[in-house]
Order: sequence, then structure tokens, then C-alpha cells
Amino acid sequence: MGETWIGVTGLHATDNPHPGAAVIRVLRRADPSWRILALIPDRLVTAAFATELVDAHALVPWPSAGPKALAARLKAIVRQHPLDVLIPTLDAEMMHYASLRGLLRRLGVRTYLPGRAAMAAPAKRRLPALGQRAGVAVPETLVMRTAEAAYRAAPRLRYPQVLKGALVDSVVVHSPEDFRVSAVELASLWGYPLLCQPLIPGEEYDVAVVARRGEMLGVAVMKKLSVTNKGTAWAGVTVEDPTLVDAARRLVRVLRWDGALEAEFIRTADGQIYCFEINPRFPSWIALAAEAGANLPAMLVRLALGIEVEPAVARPGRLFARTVVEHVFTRNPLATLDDRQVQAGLLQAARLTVPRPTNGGAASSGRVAVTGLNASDNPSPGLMVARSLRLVAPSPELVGLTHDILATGAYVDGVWDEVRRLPFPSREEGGYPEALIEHCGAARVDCLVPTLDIEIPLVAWLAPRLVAAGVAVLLPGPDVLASVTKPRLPRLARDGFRLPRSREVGGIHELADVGAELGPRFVLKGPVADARVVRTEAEARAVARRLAGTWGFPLIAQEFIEGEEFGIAAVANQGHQVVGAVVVRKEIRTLNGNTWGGSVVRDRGLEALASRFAETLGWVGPFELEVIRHPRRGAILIEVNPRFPGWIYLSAAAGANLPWAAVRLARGERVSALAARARTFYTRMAWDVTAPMDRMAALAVDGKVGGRVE
Amino acid sequence: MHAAAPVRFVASVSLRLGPERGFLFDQRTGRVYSLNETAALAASRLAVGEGAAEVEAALVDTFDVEAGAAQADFARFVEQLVEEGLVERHG
Repeated sequence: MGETWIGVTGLHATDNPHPGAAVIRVLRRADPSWRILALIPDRLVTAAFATELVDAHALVPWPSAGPKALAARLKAIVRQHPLDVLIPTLDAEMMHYASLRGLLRRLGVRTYLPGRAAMAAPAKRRLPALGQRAGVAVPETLVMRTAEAAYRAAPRLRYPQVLKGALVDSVVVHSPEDFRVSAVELASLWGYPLLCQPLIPGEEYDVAVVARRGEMLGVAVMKKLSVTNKGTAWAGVTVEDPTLVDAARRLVRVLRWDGALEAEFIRTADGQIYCFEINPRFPSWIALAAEAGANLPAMLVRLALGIEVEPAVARPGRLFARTVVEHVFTRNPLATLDDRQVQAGLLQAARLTVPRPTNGGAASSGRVAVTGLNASDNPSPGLMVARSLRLVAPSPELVGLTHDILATGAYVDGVWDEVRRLPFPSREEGGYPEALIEHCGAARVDCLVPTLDIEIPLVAWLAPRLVAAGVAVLLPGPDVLASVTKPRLPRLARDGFRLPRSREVGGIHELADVGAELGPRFVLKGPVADARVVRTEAEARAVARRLAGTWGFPLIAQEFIEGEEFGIAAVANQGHQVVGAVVVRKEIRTLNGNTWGGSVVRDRGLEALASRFAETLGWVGPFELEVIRHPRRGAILIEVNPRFPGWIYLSAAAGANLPWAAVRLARGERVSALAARARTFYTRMAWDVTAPMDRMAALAVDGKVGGRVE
Repeated sequence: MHAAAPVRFVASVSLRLGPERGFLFDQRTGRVYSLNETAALAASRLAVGEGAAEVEAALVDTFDVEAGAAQADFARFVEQLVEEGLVERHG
């Protein structure tokens, strides 16, 4: 028998990752002989760059093109390339594939999907009726088919509500104005109808299922331990919960479901469970189920191939933590993917041999502590700094310092030699300075690389004590750091830097003036992090309330600048000379504005900007400048981060390992000028790691764990 | 009946207990619990099958508290464990 080729969709693995990457990795584990064809709608889909996952690529139409266009493309693909099984994983295309089951069968492509009627039954707007038939409680659900209906509903509802797109996306809203603004925003992304449900307080659980003719064959139950602001689980643990399994079984039976399904539940404090959503596909956390003994995607493939399967139930007590991994290439390998071909070997053709700097021949590269381990939907840089340092030959020993036992980077195997828990760095809680120095001493580190905005001023203030304790740091003084905080950034204009017009916002009442001053479209920012573009005064009010809820007033309003976006990462030595600056053109952005992919560009103007910044301010250590190049006004500096950016691994891949340069400078070594290789391309993708719950327990109780994750 | 009748942790609960804090995980619910040093000591004594009087004595010895306060605190702790379904009463 020849190779088995499996087509998988849904490979955009960013801050709300599609399930495809997780599906592929567990298929790989189940049978390494299976071959994977990535079916992607464009050339910037992050998991399509995962060399270890994908054997070949083919472009398929966006779901909005409809089933006919998809059918035509699938016929063409099958004419060119073997395709034995197809697993769609995107909500927006599931109905298309259900419609095309007959065609696919005739083409020799197996699927394991329900028919159109079953596929339609668990849709969000039909969930209450389904719940009634299955005897499963569902939150009261209001369906709004038009903008007018949403506008009229806003004042009649009890808040908070969860406002949802018909297929994907949701936002929690707290007031009628918030509701109306968010409804416009969601509808502009996903169209109507919109739905809303009252926010039910409780603990959230997901149940992943594979079923055959309504009988559950495989099941995994996961409790969410950490979620993003979109409600996406970023950490969770498998549990043994017969009540939820029974509820899922009833739903599957009523639907006479075939294939994969995810049911999402809330359990209230009094024990009542509500099913608030059903997704007709695998969830993005499905790799956890396989790690816990229930490889549901492999089960689905075997069912599709007509192979008998054994029932499987995921074991309780396995933890998943969502982190990120990066793939680097000499150039964007999918830029040449032909929209009429199926192509193999594109990733290999652009493979990059990542340079491994040496330490000058010393027996040891020392022991370095790194902070900022939470590699979540907006990842802190610590994990990427550590991966850059791991490239050094020999690698320094690495100690991760985290404030949070759920910092997902603490659960990555093979990066750290040790992870230690510190108190939170807020002064109110106290204990941070002493604990930091104590942990550095106990871990025998000789250098510290802080990467969190909130702690960098504290570390700068502590620098003399750290140095006295034998821990080198490379940071500017507290005054220099203070001069680049968001509220003070506009003052850099006095030194000749080109900045956007901006002003402080002391309260909601000032927003009308802000709009008059900066134009209707502007950027609202929190004082430390978070930023959103707003387009109307109502939207500005809703966003300002959300930001102020986290950060308080004043917020910062900044002129919206149109243009190409760049990040410049650099390190300055103790003489304020930049030893290396790497410029990335941001090419893959999320809706939240975070960068998940880009290319190195050699741009003398932007590199010179980094040098001028360090010299003018008297900067020492790592920093990132965020720049937008306006077509007429040129490069405008929109933000300064006093640390490495989250994409810093790209610098190492491009031959200018800035984290290693920072460590050497901190230790008082000389570092020659570093230059990054132009066009080096990277993508970041969400990646779940798993661990026993014992690791979290040890971090909580003992305050430290080893680097090896079982 | 004594307010703090002997209890035992149910099989679904895993414990990690140190001198300064403790951690409980219930694999049925997925809930995790952080314990302070007093609760960690009480839990560690319960885990090895000690009765209320022994646990209370250990609390008095270790934390220099009045016997009455130790008894009340321990009773409250046990009630919480029972409410959360983490322990079952013997007999």
C-alpha cells in the first residue's frame, strides 16, 4: 500500500489558533508514515511553515468563496496529488465540506463528517433548541439578524453579556454603548447574525469528542485554567467528569453525530452546567487529549479509512500550556506557492542553518537568569531570549524566573536548566527585590536579562545591589528609563525624533476633544501596554472604559499613522553605542495588532535611528523601537520598549544574536558590531506543551523546578 | 461528635505539601487549591491519618497559637475540605 496523504485545513495558529496544527502533530505521532497536505487560503498562514508538520502545500479558496469554488479547487488538487483523507477544522468551512461529502467520496477522498442537517443543528443560533432535545441547559440566547436589531436590543439586556459572531469570535460587553460598538465591530468582521448570551459566572470546561452515528467513541474533558481576553483557553488540565461526559454524550446522540465535535460548558457555583457553545470540529487544544491517551484525530483518520477503532478516554491530570515556537527561513518559502499547484519541498528549499555563536573558547558560558516567561497570546520575550541564548556553543545554563505558576514558558521542555518563582514585582506586595537577589544567588547566576516592562525599572533601581551580588545587568539608569515611558514619549520630539501627535486622556469626558484634535481615527493606549485603534467617538468611549478598567486613567491617545510597520531591536553598550540593530518588517499581524511574522530588512535609515536614539538618550542595554513609515512624513517613532521584543529569536537566526551580545556586554566583554542577514523570515505559531500537574504543584510549593518536563 | 472528626482525602485529590505552602489538585473538577503554611501542615497531618487532636496539637506547637484558636481554625479548614469534596469523613 502506498503512502496515506491527509489534507488538513485551519493552520493559522496565532492568538486564537485554528486547530489544524494540533491535529497534524498528533497524527504525526500516531503514524509517522502518514503524509500531510496543508490546505491554506494564503501564503502567510503561520503553522504552514512548520517544517516538522507539513509535507506539501496547496492553496484553497477562503471559506467566503463558497462550496462551488472549493469543490473546483479540490478536484484540481486530486488530479495532481494523492489525497486519501481530508480533515477540515475551520468553523466557517465545515458546512461546505459537509455539502461536498458526496463529491469527495467520488474523488476517492475520505472524510468523517456529519451530513448538512446534523452540521447545521448545533449552530450557535440553534443551540437552545438542541439543548432542549438533549436535556442539556443552554444560556438564554438572543439572535440579532440586522444592525437595527442589535441597536434596539442593547438597552433591554442585563449586563454583562457575551456578544458572539455567528460562527466565531466573541466579546464580553458591560453596557449598552459597549454592546453597540462591539456589535458593529463584530459584524464588520463576520457579518450578521450576531448572538448574545448573559455572562454566566462559573468554571469553564471543554469536551472533545469523536462519534460514530451518534455514539461517542473517544472523549477528553479539559478544564480551562487560563484564558485570553477572547475566552480562548491558554492553559488547562484534563479531568474525569462523568457529568460533562454524559451531557456531551446526550448531545452527540441527539445529533446522530459523525466525526469530531467540541462542546463548551460552564459550571456555576451551585453545580448547574450550561452548554454555551458547540463547535463541529476538533478544538485547538486537541494535542492535550492525545498526550492524555486519547488521540482523537488519529481515531478519526482510522474511522475515515474504515479501520476499526478502540474507544478512548483521556486520562485526568495532564496539563497543557500554550506557548509559541518560531520557524525561520532564508526568505518566505511560501511566497512562490503557485495557486494552481500542489507543491512539496518549499520549506526545505528555504531552510536556514541558524548560526551558533561561540563564547570565545571558554569552557563555560556561565549561568544566565531570564524573566518574562509567559508565552501567551501576546507573549513576553523571555522564552525567545532563552532560545536565542541556547544557540550559543556552549550554551549558558539558563534559569527562568517567573512570577506566575501559569507562565506557560515555564512548561517548555529543554529550554531551562531551572525555573524559579518570584513574588510579583509590584512594590505593594513587597519582597520582590530581596527575592530577586536571593534567587539569583541561590541559582548561582552571573547575569540577569529582565524582559518585562513592569519590572525593568525595579531591576534598574536594584542594579547596584545585583552587581554587588555578582549578577551583571545591562540596563539604562532609572531616569533614562523614565524618559521613554508612554506618557513621556512625546518629549523626544525636542531631540529631533519624529513622533505622532498625542495627548493624555484624563477621563471619558475628554474624548470628544481628542477626536477633534487627532481626527476621528486615533490610537488609544494604556500607560504600560495595550493599544486599540478607534474610529468613532462611541468606540473610543467603549475602548477607553475597557483600557481604564485594567490600567486606570490617564490613557494616551495617539494620532493614527498610515504606513508600513517596522520593529527595530538593538543593544547599546555602556558607551551608548549600538553594537547590533535588527530591523523587521511586520508582515503577519493579528487583529490585536501583535506581530506573528516578518522579514529582516537592511535599512540604513532605521538602523541609524537606533544609533541616534541610544546616543541621544544615553541608553545602555536592549531596546525596541516601533516605527511606522508614512509615505510622505517618513519614519515615525510610535513606541519605545526598554527590552527585547517578542520576535528577538529572529535576530539570532539572522546572525546577530542580540541576547548573547547583551549578556557579554553585561559581563564587561567586548562585542564587535553585529549585522543581520537581510530577508531572513520568521513566523511564530501557537504551540501547546504538556506536563504533569506535579510540575505546577512543585513550582507553587517548592518555588522551583528543573528544566526537564516529563 | 467532635467538630473535626477524622477525614481522609479522596482518591482523586493529589497533594504537594511543603513547610511554607501546599497545593491540592482534584482531578475530577480540575480545581487547584493553594494552602498557606498552617493549612499545609494540617493537610500533611491529615494525609498521614492523624486525628483532630493530634493535628491541633501540631498547630499549637508549630505556630504558637492558643488551643482554642487552633481547634476552631482546624474545624473550619476541615469543613471547607468537606464542602469542596476533597475529603470524606471516616465511618
